[in-house]
Amino acid sequence: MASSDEELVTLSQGGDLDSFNQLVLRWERPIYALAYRVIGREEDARDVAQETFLRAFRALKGFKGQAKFSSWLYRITLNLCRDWIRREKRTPVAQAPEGMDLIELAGEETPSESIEELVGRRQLGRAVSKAMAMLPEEQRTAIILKEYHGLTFQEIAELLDCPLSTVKTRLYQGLSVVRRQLQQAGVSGDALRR
Amino acid sequence: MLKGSIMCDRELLVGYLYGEIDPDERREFDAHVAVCADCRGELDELRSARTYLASWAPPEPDLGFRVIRGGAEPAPALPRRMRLAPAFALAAAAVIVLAVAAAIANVEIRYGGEGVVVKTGWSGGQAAGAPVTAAADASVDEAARAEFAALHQRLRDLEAALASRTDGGVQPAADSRMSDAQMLARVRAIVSEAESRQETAVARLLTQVVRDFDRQRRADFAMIQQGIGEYQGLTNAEIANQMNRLLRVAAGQER
Repeated sequence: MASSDEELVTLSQGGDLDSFNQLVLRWERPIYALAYRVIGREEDARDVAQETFLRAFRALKGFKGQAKFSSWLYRITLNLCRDWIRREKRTPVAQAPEGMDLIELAGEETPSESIEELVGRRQLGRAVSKAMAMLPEEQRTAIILKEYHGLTFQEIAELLDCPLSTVKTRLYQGLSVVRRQLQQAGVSGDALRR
Repeated sequence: MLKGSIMCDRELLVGYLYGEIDPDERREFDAHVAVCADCRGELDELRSARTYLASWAPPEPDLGFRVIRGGAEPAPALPRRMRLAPAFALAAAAVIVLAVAAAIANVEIRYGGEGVVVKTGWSGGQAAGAPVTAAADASVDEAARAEFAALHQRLRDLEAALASRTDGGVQPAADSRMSDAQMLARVRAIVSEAESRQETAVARLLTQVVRDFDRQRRADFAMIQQGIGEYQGLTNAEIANQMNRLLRVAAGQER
């Protein structure tokens, strides 16, 4: 029978590296998925996920178990994502000085298609991704934690340090915008049937 | 708007949508939705949105994160390999100089899968958006001045090395438009302009560049140590295979 997170954390705090790596194996994909959906970049999400586990490993001795281990990981990840977003906002992307061919600009591909075009090509996943990217960070994060990670309203409120009512409001507003964006782009009930 | 026994309550609606609602509130809301077309409509819309969201799946890369033994701290996150532009004989030093100099222009440097990935941007007169939150102080300014001096010296060394070449320097590859000399001239122009702006971000980014290189060396070393650690219990043939693998890795680092 698989050990619980709490058991593995206790063993890890006692110096058992294999136990910590079991936690890594268990949570690397959900953590990566969280980072990816929040910041929208594969490689950067990978870096955030790696950094999450490094920080968790370094701070493990101080983890007292007041919250779930997964919640603690999520908090580290969200803080790293927030830092990434702030850095991205501070650094404008512009044209390189002429002749700078050996420098690649903005390595990540930025989708240039509209939601309508993506829907027209039945790329519903990408259309949803684009619609989500249009949301304010706090609405997007609330939806991601609820829809893809199954956190309760209370858990989300604790993670995001906001009242319960705020979580529900963000969910309501975010879902409404996503629905409206996709509806305007022509998504119908047929698009949902695969 | 009062319909049925309760008002149209958005928070209650969301709680009902996600099934996080106590039994009494659920019964009340059931009764409300039965008579309130607005809430029924909203509920349908939010349910549709949730169905759309289910189609958004992240990529599934090969993650394979592991903490390995090697001292008090685990191996640092492996940065992506930095492959230097092969068309330039002075590539190693030039890219570093260029990356740092370009960083003065409010640029973020990353090591992408295809080499150095840079996002450039001039701050247009604003103070550089330093990625670190440490307040600028005398010691940082001093470090910045020292770094500018080191940069200028490095540029002079590169220019002298280029001038001493008898083959006229490496010609640019087909996918590049600049020769070594042109690139150095451009770098010098950037450095001088940034210095006049007294950008302090260069010191921080130099630190980051050095840290990244150091991290890369430590990561490579950890990998080699791990390979050596695997030798225990191996047969001679297996040891030979492992050595060949490590040699290939080492050769890859020098490219």
